[in-house]
Amino acid sequence: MNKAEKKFRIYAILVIFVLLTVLLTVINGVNFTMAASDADELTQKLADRRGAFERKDGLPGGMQFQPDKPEDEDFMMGPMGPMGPDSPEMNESLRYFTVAFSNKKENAETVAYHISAVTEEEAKEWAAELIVQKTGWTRGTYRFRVYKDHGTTFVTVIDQGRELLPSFRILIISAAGEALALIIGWFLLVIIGRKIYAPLEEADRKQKIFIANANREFRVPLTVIDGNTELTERKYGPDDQTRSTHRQVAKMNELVEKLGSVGIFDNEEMNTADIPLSEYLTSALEREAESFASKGVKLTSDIEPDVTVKADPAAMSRLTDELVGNALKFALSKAGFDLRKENGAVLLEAYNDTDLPDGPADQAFDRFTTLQNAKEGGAGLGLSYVKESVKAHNGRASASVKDGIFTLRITL
Amino acid sequence: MKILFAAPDRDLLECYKTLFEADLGQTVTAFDGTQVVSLLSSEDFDLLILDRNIPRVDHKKIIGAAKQKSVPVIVLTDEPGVPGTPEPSPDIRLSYPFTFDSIKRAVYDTLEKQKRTVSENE
Repeated sequence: MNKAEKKFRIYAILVIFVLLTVLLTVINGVNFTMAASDADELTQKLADRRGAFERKDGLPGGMQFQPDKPEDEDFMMGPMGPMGPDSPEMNESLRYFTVAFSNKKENAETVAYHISAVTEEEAKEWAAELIVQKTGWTRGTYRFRVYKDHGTTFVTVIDQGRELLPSFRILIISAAGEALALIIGWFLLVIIGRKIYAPLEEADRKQKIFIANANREFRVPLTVIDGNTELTERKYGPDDQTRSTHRQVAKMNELVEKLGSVGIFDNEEMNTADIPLSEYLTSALEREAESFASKGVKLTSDIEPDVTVKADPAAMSRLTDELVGNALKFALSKAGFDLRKENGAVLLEAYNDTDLPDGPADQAFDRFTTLQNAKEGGAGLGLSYVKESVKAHNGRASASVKDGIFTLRITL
Repeated sequence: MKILFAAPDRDLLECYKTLFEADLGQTVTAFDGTQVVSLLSSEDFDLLILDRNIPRVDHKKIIGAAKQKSVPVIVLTDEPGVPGTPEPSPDIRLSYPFTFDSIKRAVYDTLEKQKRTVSENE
């Protein structure tokens, strides 16, 4: 599995996870909020009746007897009967107790006691604990309301365990469902990922094979051309044509060397060590300082001393050379290099003036792509190497143009 | 100095034979492995320059045959890097494309190395 496919799977599963979590959180949140609202409606109904429904047997007291089936014609609405707090069965089935406190906490009197899980004494003690609050959940599944009527404080506690059970079941089913969906999603992503990336990998593999073959096939003819030019010079003396042939062969040799490094980070193990990147960049700039000057390019640098990075020495040496070489090729009149440590990472910025339009310029990292007008032609492989090298070191590379300045930003 | 230059490309052989003979000494060329093995056994050479892709006989066998006769070897390779170390190893490995100057330097380096080895053994 290549890195792009791995990234695709991880991002896709993260998106699925976030979407499912948001959806299920909203569903369960609304469910529990509605359960609390239903419970509040019931405690309000009890509060309106001074803490108790009148039961058919007339015990304990309440405001009025409420028949099981109201005679109101509009009572039956829709295909289903009334549910939740509106159910006429609620009067008989609700588990609750109400304790009234006349003046002091100690003067507690049970107004209604229709619950099995709590003794009357426990109910009084419990109510006394709640008297300073208004409403809410208590001991997990009990909803309470504290209210006053004619100087008496009432505390009504209703048991919502039975009503909350479906909500908790939905919560557990949601969590289990999400976990299952993620597992199934992962397997589907593996299958889809393979289908999507197989042709891309194949194309990449073919491109690399082509490059490797072309690379090998160019090598001997270039050697022969250079050798024959040498022979011609010996026979007839060097002239503009032979010198030009040598120059072109040298360019082709450079291209061949670069082609040889395409894809070298795919399989090879790197030998990492603490690399003094400040020194590498400084010496690369020093080596080319004269070339910059002779091209009339003003070179500036702001290199923090002793910046090190854990990396492959050869790869870092080549990377700094490529960055400097790129600036040398494409700068119109000025180029600069900044190197510093920032938030624990190493930040390397290479910039030069350009006539490219503003915007992201990450295509500069594509193989055989040259975005800028070079004074000398470029094969479009240098920055491709930079990107591959940075990726192999788990870093990031980006390119952009702003206000006529082309900036390569590398984080390692 | 007598050089045996073995490579499958005849243009390369022809061009470098002329250059070697002008600057280094007598040069015999061969374009396949059997020729190289036969020449190594029938003649004495001061140096073998061998293309790694020489056909018919594995280049490692040819290096072995040259080493038996104490002939130093320069191996020419079209690989960009140096993948692995073939046994027995050549004295110098040189990657295509190269210039005449660079192969000339490689020849001098190899002969120098050979001289040092001989004098150390004596």
